[in-house]
Amino acid sequence: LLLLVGRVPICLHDALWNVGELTCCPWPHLHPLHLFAIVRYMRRREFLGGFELLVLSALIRLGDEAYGVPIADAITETSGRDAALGSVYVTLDRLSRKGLVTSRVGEPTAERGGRAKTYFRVTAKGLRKLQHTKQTLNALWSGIPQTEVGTA
Amino acid sequence: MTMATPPRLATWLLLRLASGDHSHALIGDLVEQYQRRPSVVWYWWQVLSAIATGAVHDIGDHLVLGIRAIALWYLLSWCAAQLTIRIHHSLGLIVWNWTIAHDFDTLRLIWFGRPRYNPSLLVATCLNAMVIGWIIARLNRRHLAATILGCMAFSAAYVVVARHLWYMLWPVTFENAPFVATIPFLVALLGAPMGLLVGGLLASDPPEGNLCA
Repeated sequence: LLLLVGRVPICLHDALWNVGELTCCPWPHLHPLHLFAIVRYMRRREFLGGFELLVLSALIRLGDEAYGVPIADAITETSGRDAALGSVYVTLDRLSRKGLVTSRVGEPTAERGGRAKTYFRVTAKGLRKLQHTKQTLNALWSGIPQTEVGTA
Repeated sequence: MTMATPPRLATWLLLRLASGDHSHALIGDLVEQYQRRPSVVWYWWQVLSAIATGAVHDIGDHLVLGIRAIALWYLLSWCAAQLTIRIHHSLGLIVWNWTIAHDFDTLRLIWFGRPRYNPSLLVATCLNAMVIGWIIARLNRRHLAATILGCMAFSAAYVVVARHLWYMLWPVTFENAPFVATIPFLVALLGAPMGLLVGGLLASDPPEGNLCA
């Protein structure tokens, strides 16, 4: 029944976490009605994933001309492996939901069968996240001794 | 310059099964790429991978919805199977008398079939799956691909597991066993998921936006 309904009563949440005027819920910003709020919270990653990092860096490099095809080309050029357009759009959707990129619709062209391009741009939050990830990666690398090819 | 037209069926499928808010932009990008690389295989690969990637991420983001859809699929399949078998049995006498009176042996053979292999019930299984796919798609319009593909995968996995469980539990005699004979097994493995997909596609509305090309 819980799976079908997917929610628990708000009073249960209040009974567990709200004591008088104080709120001691460790996830106060989450929707209290959702049974799987904690699972969702745990799924929210602190750092960017590998493909997200590639997409964000491609967006910065391309500037105002960043839409699906050049983004996929830039990723292929950087990583050396073919980037499927479907994966690029799934990642852009996810970044957009996180507020790390914004999009605007361009003009439709005949070359695209009359369909408009959607241009993407990194937000200030996205830039901060990228910077943070870069610092973390740099800090990680600085702690590792220099390795040469052929040595462990 | 003549424009190369990509496979229409692939575009139609993507339009209905793509996840996310940018399906028109994605199709536009694929059409643009297709002008540079006019390969039908490449286009189909991109479309199928876009549908699969979108569905997998969507079901990961909405796990409860996926579980609910699969539970609903199981419940409806079970109810539909019980109802179909009862209707089939209750109509049996009428069909038997009518086919003898009108000398229509082929229909009698199709209706009653053989032990463990009944063509009319197999067709009914596929039709039931189509109706169930339609219902699930109508209830999950925003996550159509994720729920329908999830149910298809679960349906196929269920048939494989059921067949092997039956073999393991009753290795010597398996009279009246479901899915043991090859044709019912193949119909349940491929026909029922395809029925779910067709039902889902019939229930889907193409996303709003520019529909030219």
